[in-house]
Amino acid sequence: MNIDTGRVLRAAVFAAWAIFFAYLRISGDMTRYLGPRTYWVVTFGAVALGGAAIAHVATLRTQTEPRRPTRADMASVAALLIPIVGVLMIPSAELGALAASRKLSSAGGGEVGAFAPAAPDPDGDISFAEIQYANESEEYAAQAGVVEGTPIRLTGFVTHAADAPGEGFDLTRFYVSCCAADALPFSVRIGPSIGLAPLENDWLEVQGRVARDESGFYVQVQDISEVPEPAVPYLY
Amino acid sequence: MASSSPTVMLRRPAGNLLLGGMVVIVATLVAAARLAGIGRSALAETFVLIFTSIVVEALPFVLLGAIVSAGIAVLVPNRAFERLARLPLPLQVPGAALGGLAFPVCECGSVPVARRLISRGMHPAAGLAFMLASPIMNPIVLASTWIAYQGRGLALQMVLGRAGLGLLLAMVAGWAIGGEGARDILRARPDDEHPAPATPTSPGDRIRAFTDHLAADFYFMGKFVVIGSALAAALQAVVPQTLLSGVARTPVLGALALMALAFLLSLCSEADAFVAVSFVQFPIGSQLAFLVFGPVVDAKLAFLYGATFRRRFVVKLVVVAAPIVLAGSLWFEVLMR
Repeated sequence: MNIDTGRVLRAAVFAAWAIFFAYLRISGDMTRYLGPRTYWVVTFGAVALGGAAIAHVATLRTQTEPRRPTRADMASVAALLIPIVGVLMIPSAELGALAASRKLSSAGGGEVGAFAPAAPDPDGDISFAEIQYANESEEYAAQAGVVEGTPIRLTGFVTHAADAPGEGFDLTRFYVSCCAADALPFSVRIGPSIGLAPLENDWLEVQGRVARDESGFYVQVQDISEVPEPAVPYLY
Repeated sequence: MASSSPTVMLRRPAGNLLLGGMVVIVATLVAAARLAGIGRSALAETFVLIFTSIVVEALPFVLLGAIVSAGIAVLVPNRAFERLARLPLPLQVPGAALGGLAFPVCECGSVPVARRLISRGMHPAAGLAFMLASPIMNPIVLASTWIAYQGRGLALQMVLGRAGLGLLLAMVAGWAIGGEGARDILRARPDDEHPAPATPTSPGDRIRAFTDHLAADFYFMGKFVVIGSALAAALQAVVPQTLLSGVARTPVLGALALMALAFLLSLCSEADAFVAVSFVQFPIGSQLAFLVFGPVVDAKLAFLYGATFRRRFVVKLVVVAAPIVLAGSLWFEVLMR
């Protein structure tokens, strides 16, 4: 009875991915990579890849002379391990100011903005999306209650739009649909004269009131504090 | 367990050596990267996060496709495919394209299934029509398109436009590219030379044959998904997408720009509508071009196609798909005005 070395390797990679998916699920780290619509793929991946690993282990022994792993087999194994190795190298990767500057629908530039829905969620809070939509549609602003003087509290990371007016900065948050590849940045301008010069990617909690000038809505700061990155870095 | 017989040889040490070598290499790489502090680079962080998220999202679908493909290989008898192959082509192609309605996986899963169907006797034109239609026509994709465009009051129009143009593209591309025989279109794979028994009889043989087929498809497709995802992530991390916004208002250039963006982003077709709806600067027809072109041709798929089909398949597909999508999106724009 021979042990099929190729099957050993394949079983190991299946098992590595099953463990990785299980880790993402149990640790909650899947929120770093995926949106709620696709959380199920993590559970499915852990179970199905675990099943594939078990099926391979159960059939490791063969009566015939097994085919030795070729270079192509080894290349496949190595390629499939690259994403796991990447995560081990940079375990707490996050989308920040650089990613926001690369995305098409980045706010604050004026030239490109996100689409304002026909009507806001009547029970929703005023957040990044509502402010950005309000800058594009007076009707939306009125329906969402985005008017000067409205109290607001936002948590996001710092970005600096190249053409932002005044001395302020932008507070940004990504909205994710399925995974980080489809993340869209939404930014809100934070008013000047706050006596603070935060660095890009610093996570801040800002409390203040909605204000407006010729460039649109912004937040007039009343209180500002540094906070750790939230457990779920995205909004949905 | 060792044996005295020279022909009965245990190869556990070779397997252990390979596994041990892999663990040592990975540990060394991880330690070196952490010591070098590459995690502090915003570019590296952005790349790794987007790369991993695409692979994490795509790999279970590749596995699902491999499971279906292995099921077709092991459980469906040859005579079923022979009967299918005898059907007139004008019936096979639209039938296969509409079959996408019943196959709720995105583009990564449809490629191994199409390859299996073609290699088992389905006409290549029909196999390609199925492969190209299923990521657009499947119910989850159409439902997500509906939800994404509901807020704009365009849900029905976008769903019909996407399904209609997707179906047309799949059938025309199937006819145009898949007219040759299976041998002329499919790239040979190493495991093709070692086929498992077509109809394994005992349960043990079936399990072994099933896992062999599953692993062959998963590993073959998986590595190209990884390479394609790396390319897509690199493009997202490096290229500012605002480069495209200058042509946003022009229907033809806008459609071409969003087709290029769809290629670059390599989004899952089940998510792309939520991204497309945010491109309000672009005409609605251009958004449709993004939604139809992306699931058929993107950076990740280019590698997958290159590995599955013979040379120039990707070029042929782009040459056929781009004009159809462009023309269709412009007609849609006209109808919507």
